[in-house]
Amino acid sequence: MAAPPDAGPQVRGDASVIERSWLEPERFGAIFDAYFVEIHRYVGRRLGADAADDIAAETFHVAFRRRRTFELSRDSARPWLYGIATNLMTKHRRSESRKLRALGRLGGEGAAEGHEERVAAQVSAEQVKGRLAGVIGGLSTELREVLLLVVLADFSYDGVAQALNVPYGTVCSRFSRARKKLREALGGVNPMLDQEGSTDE
Amino acid sequence: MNELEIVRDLFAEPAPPDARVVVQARRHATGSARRRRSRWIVPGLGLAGATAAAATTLTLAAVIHPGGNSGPSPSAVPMSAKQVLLMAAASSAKAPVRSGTYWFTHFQDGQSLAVPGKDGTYVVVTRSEEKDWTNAHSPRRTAAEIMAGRGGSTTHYWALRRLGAHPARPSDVAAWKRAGSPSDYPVLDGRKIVDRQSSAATPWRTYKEETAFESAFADGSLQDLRKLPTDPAELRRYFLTHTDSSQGGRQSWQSDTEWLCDAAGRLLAFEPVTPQVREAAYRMLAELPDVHIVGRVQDPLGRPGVAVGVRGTGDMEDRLVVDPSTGRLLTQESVSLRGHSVPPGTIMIWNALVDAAWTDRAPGNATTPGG
Repeated sequence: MAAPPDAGPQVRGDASVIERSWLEPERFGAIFDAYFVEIHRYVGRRLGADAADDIAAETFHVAFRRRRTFELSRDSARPWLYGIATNLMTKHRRSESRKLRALGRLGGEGAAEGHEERVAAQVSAEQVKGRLAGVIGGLSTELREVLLLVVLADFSYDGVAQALNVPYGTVCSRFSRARKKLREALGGVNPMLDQEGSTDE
Repeated sequence: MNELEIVRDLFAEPAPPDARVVVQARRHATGSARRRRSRWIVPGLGLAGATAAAATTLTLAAVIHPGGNSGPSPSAVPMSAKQVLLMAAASSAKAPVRSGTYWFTHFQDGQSLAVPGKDGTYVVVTRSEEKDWTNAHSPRRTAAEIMAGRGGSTTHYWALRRLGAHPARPSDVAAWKRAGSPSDYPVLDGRKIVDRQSSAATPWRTYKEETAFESAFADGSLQDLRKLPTDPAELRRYFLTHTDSSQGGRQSWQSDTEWLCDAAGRLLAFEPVTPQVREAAYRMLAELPDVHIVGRVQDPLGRPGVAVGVRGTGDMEDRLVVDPSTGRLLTQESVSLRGHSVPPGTIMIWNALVDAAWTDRAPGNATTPGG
């Protein structure tokens, strides 16, 4: 998604809504309405629809109970909510890894590294996907969370830093390590690759 | 496609959540079965600048209100906030006493959102409606609940629908047309689109539940609601000594004024109290030192009323729009003052009371949400 033009840095005013929800719990409904579908989608992409129903609901329940701990100098509640959802996904992480590695085994039997270019070009898109799934399944938790927050949730490094409560520099280095592993796995045989590095921040 | 785009592709998007899941999750999130109760309190009323603003009559020119969401700018009203509230009190006293099985309330609420257009942002308003029916006459109370002063359980119905998002003012309609007349609108977080608001309306969905009878006042039973003081000073004393008589109770940082406005606003909006208690509540509000007059306005539903406001500590001003001739509380609204993406003076959030009345009829097509 392209950044829309002329949108100011502060559009939603979540902090003031959350502050007001201290006294008026109903105000928190605006936070729910703004982000529930999005959080549900993120969890659903990673863990499937059933888990998404539960975890998205619990995310907002936890957020509501902790609304007084929201850092009011941050205008957007979005990183905070993804951080809560990420924590709640912890117990599902192992099954997610298993699923991804299984995908990796299915798709990863195509061309091995070192084949001739012509052979490499015949690696199917499905095989490439499978190979990457396997890599993601094998990533450490730290790398995987950063990668998926950036790629699936369109967060900037700064947003990820807020969501996971880690320093900005840590996010940068984790992301670049994760990306390097993905590129290594493709081994230059990605038939779907139009151009290099087009999504650099 | 580069490797990151393939990763994105790999994680397919699931179907959007079922409407029932969303309703349940929303209720679970805020821990409130009955949304209407917590809506209408007058947030942060008072405190900031408890000054002589009280008795000042503001004129139109002094009020920041270029447009708002609907209706013209407020016009000067030759009365102070105190006079307006006293008039509402007198009108309330003349209202007839009615009764019925269900206490029914019907609200419409709205929120302003800035969306990107061709040349800068413009404002759309997304609106929804809610109706609530609470069987107030026969809360079922166990002996233990009576002993404990609890209201018991009762049957509660509620119905919801979305009315969709639409450009707010004529200038926003023009900006919307320049943007190609889209049928849905991106919701921005910073510069990123995080959600979309549709202009489409949804049909009413009606639900039924057995729930605690949770009047904010007394022990929650209608009988005790009817025992509330009809003298303003006594009502004030009652609120100050019953600091749990509003959902969430009195907050440690609330001044007396803030707490009293909170509790009285809730009472006027939600509770099936007698005309005499409503009169007392308005009289009590009239004595509060830091409520100022805004002027004659049209509320977001286009109804004429008079707005009184309280400047809180934040970047919004909370207002009540009342009809002094009937004593009805028409709308509670929060108006942007500065620092928001919508222009100053825009009504950012509002709740408008369409109707509040006794009825003997409950909706027939309600579904019972599980969980």
